[in-house]
Amino acid sequence: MTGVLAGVVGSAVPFAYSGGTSYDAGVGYTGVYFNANGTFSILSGYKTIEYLIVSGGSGGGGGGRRTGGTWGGGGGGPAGNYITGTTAISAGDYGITVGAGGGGGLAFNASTNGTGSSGSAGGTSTWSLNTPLSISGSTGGAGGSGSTSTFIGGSGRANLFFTGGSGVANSTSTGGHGGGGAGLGGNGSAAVIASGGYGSGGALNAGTMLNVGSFGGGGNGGVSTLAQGQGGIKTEWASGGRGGTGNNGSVALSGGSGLSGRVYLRWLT
Amino acid sequence: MSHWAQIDENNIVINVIVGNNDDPDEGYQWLLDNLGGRWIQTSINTFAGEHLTGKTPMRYNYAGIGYTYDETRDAFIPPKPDEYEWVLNETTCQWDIVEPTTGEE
Repeated sequence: MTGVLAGVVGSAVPFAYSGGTSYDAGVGYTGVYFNANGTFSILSGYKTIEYLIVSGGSGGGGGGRRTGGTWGGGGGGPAGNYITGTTAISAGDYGITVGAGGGGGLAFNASTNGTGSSGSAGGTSTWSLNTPLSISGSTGGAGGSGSTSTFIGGSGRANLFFTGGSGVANSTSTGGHGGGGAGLGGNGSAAVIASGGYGSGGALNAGTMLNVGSFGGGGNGGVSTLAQGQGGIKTEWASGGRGGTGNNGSVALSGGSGLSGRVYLRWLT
Repeated sequence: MSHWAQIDENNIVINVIVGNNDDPDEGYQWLLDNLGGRWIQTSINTFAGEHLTGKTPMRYNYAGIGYTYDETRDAFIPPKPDEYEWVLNETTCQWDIVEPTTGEE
């Protein structure tokens, strides 16, 4: 994307830029976003830029398994973290990297009892100014346990803003469910006897979040039996991964991957 | 989108980012020019040596932060779990438990 805008008050040099994909940044604003690495270049002039930098969402935990019948679903992964603010910059090239979603944790499958692995953290997103601005993802959802004494589902993990839901033990015959991962709109819910916990929804603060709409739902917790938890709710980016199922008839399943982050920039036209 | 893992001097993955498919090399040269360091491509659809959509798998597993890049196997290998004894499965490049010789059920 390349653009030239009218001269800024107090500046004789018109503002011109390149890089990113344009989006509807709100009345009176021009904005671009990055969903992959790239360079935001100011070709002339200067601007006060608002930024929203979001890391990748983290992966969900893998399911645990026990041959005796007490499985544990994995916890949901948390949504990506973010930073926002304003900075005044002039002509130059400013690199941007976008954190990828974290991978799901491995399931535990053996003839003995064990716990699934935690999901991987979401990747770090960075805007390379003179003092770089960066934000990393949080730890992925915990794995579910299938061990004799702790057949509990894994906990959904927190991000920097909200808490994840706790896993629950169900019964010695059906195992436990995983808790929901934290979203950017609220806490993940705890698992209950009947189901895994739900990840919370994404942020909806369109007015204060650079008019980007909803993003960053938490991953749902996995359950002990056939149905898996689902990924982040109704958001296309920065969501956490679902927790893995404790048992899918014969094997425990691994957690799901989180979704990649984004970087948004906007300024007054 | 392509995906790239940054590895440190011990071949441990320290970040995973999204590459730009509009670049001729999907962002690889951009990463070297702008960030430096060591970057290895990874596939978000590769798991346990298989590609989830039937395409050619890449380096056995999608890289996660904390994984190790094994240059000999050209594989991303997850951390070894704490409990029990494990051995690397050469087909999946994941860890298989060493089954106990006595039953515990």
